[in-house]
Amino acid sequence: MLNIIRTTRGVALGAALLTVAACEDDPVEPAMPIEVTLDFAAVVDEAAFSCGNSYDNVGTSNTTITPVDFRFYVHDVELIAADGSSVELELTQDGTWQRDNVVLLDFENGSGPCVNGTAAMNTTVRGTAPDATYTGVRFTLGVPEELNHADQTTAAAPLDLTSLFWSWNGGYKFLRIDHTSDAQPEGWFVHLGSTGCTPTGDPTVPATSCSNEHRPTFEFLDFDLGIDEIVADYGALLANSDLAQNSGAKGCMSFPGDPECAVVMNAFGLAYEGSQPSGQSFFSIR
Amino acid sequence: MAGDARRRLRLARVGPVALAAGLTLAGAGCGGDEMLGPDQVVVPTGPFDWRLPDGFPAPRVPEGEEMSAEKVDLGLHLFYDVRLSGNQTQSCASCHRQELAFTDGLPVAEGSTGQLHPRNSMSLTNAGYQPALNWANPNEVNLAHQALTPLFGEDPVELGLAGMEDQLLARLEADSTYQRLFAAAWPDRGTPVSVETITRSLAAFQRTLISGDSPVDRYRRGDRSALSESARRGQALFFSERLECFHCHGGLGFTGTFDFEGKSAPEIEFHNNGLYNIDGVGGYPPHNTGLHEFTERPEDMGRFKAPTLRNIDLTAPYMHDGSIATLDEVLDHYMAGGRAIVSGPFAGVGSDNPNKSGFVKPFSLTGEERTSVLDFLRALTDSSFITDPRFANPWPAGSPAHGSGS
Repeated sequence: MLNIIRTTRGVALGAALLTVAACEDDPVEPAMPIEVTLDFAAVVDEAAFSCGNSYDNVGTSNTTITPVDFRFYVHDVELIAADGSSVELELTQDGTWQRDNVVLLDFENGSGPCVNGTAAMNTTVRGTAPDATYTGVRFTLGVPEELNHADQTTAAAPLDLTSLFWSWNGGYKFLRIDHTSDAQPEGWFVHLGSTGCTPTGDPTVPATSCSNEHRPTFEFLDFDLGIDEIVADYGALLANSDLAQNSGAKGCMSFPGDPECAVVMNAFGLAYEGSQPSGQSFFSIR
Repeated sequence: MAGDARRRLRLARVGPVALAAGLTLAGAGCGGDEMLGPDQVVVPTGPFDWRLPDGFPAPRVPEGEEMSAEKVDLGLHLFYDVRLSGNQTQSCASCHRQELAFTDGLPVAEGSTGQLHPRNSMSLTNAGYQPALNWANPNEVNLAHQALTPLFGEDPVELGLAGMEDQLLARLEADSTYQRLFAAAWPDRGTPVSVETITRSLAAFQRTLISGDSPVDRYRRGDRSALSESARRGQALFFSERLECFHCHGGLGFTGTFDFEGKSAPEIEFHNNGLYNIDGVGGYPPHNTGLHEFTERPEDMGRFKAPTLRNIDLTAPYMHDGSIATLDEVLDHYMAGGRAIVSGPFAGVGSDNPNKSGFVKPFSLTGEERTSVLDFLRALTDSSFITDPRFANPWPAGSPAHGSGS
């Protein structure tokens, strides 16, 4: 399992390759693009996530937790061919879940304890790609920088959900998986998002750059497009967290100086205040 | 920009009043405009009447924003409506009460679910002139954007509407008063009730919260009787290099963070005033570290906005965390050049804080001088601001805007 943190250079190179491919004189009629659906699943260890369910033995204190939310954005979804080349999955613009290059994956249905949620769910990423054989997939967790700081009150779906606004911090919550437990009845939350966000230059303009982007990229090179699904595992994410304890913000909300954050951020494959990841453990393929 | 807006004509919905105005206008010189159908009349919108105090420039309105009496009226109604909270127990006015210069009298604000905010409710005095709106958030520079945080924020919960935007819009759309107010304020919108129009209308109302009629203002305009002898001595002390108050609380706004239409550039200042020094290297209590929370620069630990001193006598308790109860004790704090806390988790000598502003340095005052400074600060109270009916709750008794408790 690979977890690659994308660099700016990587993005620019990818765009350049696509441009060249599109501009070449090709007398052959291009093949019809294929429709691609990537299935996602949400689990807590072995069990499927569902609003209202509780899950035993999570974290280092074997805590029984009741999740109350399970949503995250992904963007820049790419398909990888056997030779290592990649193409961007052109997302179907459905007006609800997918817009531009960003998708909201939503596994809660607003029922039971999922009080801040919505009835509708989305567990797939849908789009088109050139007809070819793909053996890998790559995507980045979060809202892309170019959409993260725009006016949220006029943003189109899926960037119009107030429970994913993080306005005072100058952006969106990229991911929120919240739970309660007997040990932490007021909640223990994982909110991933950019922090250290400040205006640059013009002081009348809201945040434009963030010192901690917190957008991990995930890559799976042995992926069967028709069969495999991408599993987001909250139990694996919290495997090294002591959910009976909390100090600072409730759970980990991505801010510096939070004792609960190091192992959570490392599990996303992100470095945190000197603590380095040994790989990510949140996403897997099955 | 503002000039274009002022010249623009707008189509208004027809009603008895508008029709009468239209007929009058047509008679006066618009006759023969055959572009107009029978149910449309042209009503010129003049420049927005800010009712500025003498000597006050207009607030700078963000680009693309246009003030109107209708938006302000809608914003006023929204400001006082508990339906703008998740459990319909609080409105904006719950923490921003007019009689307290739009503060709440509490050390720290209490949200609709009872959760305490880490910070003291900010006065809305001259909010439209403030290019940085919160105590220490460099990202909150626009009143409409700022409104999202009390409405939808979760850490802490204030009005507690996160994830409830559909219910919020449905509540407002069902109310006949809002049907009228939204249509009047946002006539070009097919669906006038939205998070965008709510926040922009709230911003329009807040920009009208202009306070410039205190005894100090009247004295400056030539009314020599407006200030007592003592307050005048206090004014001289306030503006002296001995006390240094004016460096951070100067200018028309009595704050260094100020802006207005025509100003060369907005000024935004954050200062450390030596309230804490927990570890001897400048530490502040968790959740209240100031500008550092966003910039992560060590030197920004404990830097907060110096709030306006207009109406300061009404806005106790003081400081970003409400940790000083009275104006008298605030003077003690500054006379000592910072606060010393001798025991407990926040113990430390604030006057030794390495990030402290150079203007916060010890000084002494005689008893008479101390009284004079306080008399001056109390002369910044604008009694017309806190009694102006334009800023008062517009909802009649029994309205659902008051909630079920009234």
